[in-house]
Amino acid sequence: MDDASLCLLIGQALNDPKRAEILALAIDQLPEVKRYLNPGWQPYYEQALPTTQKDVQRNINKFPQISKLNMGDVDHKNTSDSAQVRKCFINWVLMILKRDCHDVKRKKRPIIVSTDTPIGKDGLTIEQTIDSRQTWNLNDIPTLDDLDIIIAEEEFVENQKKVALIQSLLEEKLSNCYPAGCPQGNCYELVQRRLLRTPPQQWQEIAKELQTPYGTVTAHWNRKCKPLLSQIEQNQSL
Amino acid sequence: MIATANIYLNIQLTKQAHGDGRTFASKQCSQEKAKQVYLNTLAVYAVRSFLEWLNIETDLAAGDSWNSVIRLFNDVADLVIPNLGKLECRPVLPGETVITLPPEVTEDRICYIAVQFQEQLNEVQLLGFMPALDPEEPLSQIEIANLQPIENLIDYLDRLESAQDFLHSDDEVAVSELGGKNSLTQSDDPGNTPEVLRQWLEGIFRQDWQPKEAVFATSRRGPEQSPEVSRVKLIDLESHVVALFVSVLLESENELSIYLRLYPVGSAIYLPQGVQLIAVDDESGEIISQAQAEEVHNWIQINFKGENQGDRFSVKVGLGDISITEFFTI
Repeated sequence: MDDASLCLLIGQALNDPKRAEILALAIDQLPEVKRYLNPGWQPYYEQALPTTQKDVQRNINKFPQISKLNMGDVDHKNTSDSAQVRKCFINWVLMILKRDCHDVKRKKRPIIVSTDTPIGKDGLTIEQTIDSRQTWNLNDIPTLDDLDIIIAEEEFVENQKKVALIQSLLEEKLSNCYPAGCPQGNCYELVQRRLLRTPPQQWQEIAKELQTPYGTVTAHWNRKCKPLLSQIEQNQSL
Repeated sequence: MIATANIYLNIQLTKQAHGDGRTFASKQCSQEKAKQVYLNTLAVYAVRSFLEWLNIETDLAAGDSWNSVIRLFNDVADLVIPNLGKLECRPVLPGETVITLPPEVTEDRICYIAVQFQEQLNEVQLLGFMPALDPEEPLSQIEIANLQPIENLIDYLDRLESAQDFLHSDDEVAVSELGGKNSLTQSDDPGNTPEVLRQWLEGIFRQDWQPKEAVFATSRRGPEQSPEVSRVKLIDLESHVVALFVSVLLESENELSIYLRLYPVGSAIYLPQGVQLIAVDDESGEIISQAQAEEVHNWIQINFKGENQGDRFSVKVGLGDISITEFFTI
């Protein structure tokens, strides 16, 4: 299928479900799709393709927004326009196809999730995720400038007092927590090096200076020290 | 009229993301820090939405960016993929062309994702990603123009997953066993001090041998829970960098099982075609075992037994006219 025909079909598919179905079926006939799909995904192509086609058919109306295309201004007879639309369309299809190949590969999901299936705790679908108008009213949208006045001055002062209090507790609460046989790698020592020093010391350097294996230091930090820090903070209700 | 040739994946920022951003920001000690924390939180949420769409599980609470004390002191926007590692989700403000990475995020990240903010904060664009290539030379800056397309992120994560699966499997390795003699041109350092493998069993390693987590992202099973001990070293073959993975298992009082594996690193999916992995007995000069990567090998392996303490062998990694040799003592 040449660029102009594909571009025309995409334009038609935006308004006509029958044409969207034809467009989805045409994916298998676009040579770039297989050519640009990494060889690692190829074994899963046949199994993943029906899911991808279904998603493309359902969500073709999201394609222009994702790709920042104004399809109303596209002239499919213009070779530059149609080539550009084709490139964007192939990229979009490949992204969906690779996701579906990944799913097939992992065989993680007994039911293949489509883009209109709720995701995450927010319960939003990818369609909703992409289309911001479904959640925000224009007047409610926060801006970067709003962030410059996000906290009142008096809150800073209060926060600074709480942080100072937490810092005063760190040595007492953290010094006795260390990996077996490695008291020099205690949580307070790690906090000093990672949080209180500017710039923070790199883990490789810390491991070397404390003569403790890298894996031991970082595992202790993640498993023991971080939860302790959270506990201290919670007790101070920061 | 066409605006752009690339996919700019627009991700909506939900009210929950803004709510958490505001909550986290409200506990900071300066306006500047509060803004930083707010944007970092939004960036993490945006990447999380994309990963969820890809059906890749994430754990918000496990990240430093979700730890209220770490957030006070560090500039972090990490997102944990369980059993794989941390992504760093860096905000990009309008007009910025370079991302400057704070020192606290240049280690233990599997990649960096650029999240473009506009004046209105209802949505962001994922501009692309940059794999963390070399733990020995961590990135300090990322040019936006050098990012890899965001649609390729899943290829990269899949490669890391595959490496992880392999590291935790007992599968036999499909290797191309070669006969004949080594024909690589030597460009080795004859003064290389041998690495003593028995010392690895006591937790003693030279600095240049990294834990596998440092190269392949966080592991499900650390060395301390495993009877085998392993380390990884990046090998620079000029046109390509590969990772040499060495694993040692004490089979009996005298006998060591030694596994040598070669992996691609960074964004590469496969090893460079023709790259060779060769173990040579340094006493006799004979080849102990060798393997060569074909077009679509994403790793190769050789393995053998080492019995006598003090026996020496070397491992050559070669591609074309370039070879690097690592020296070992049992």
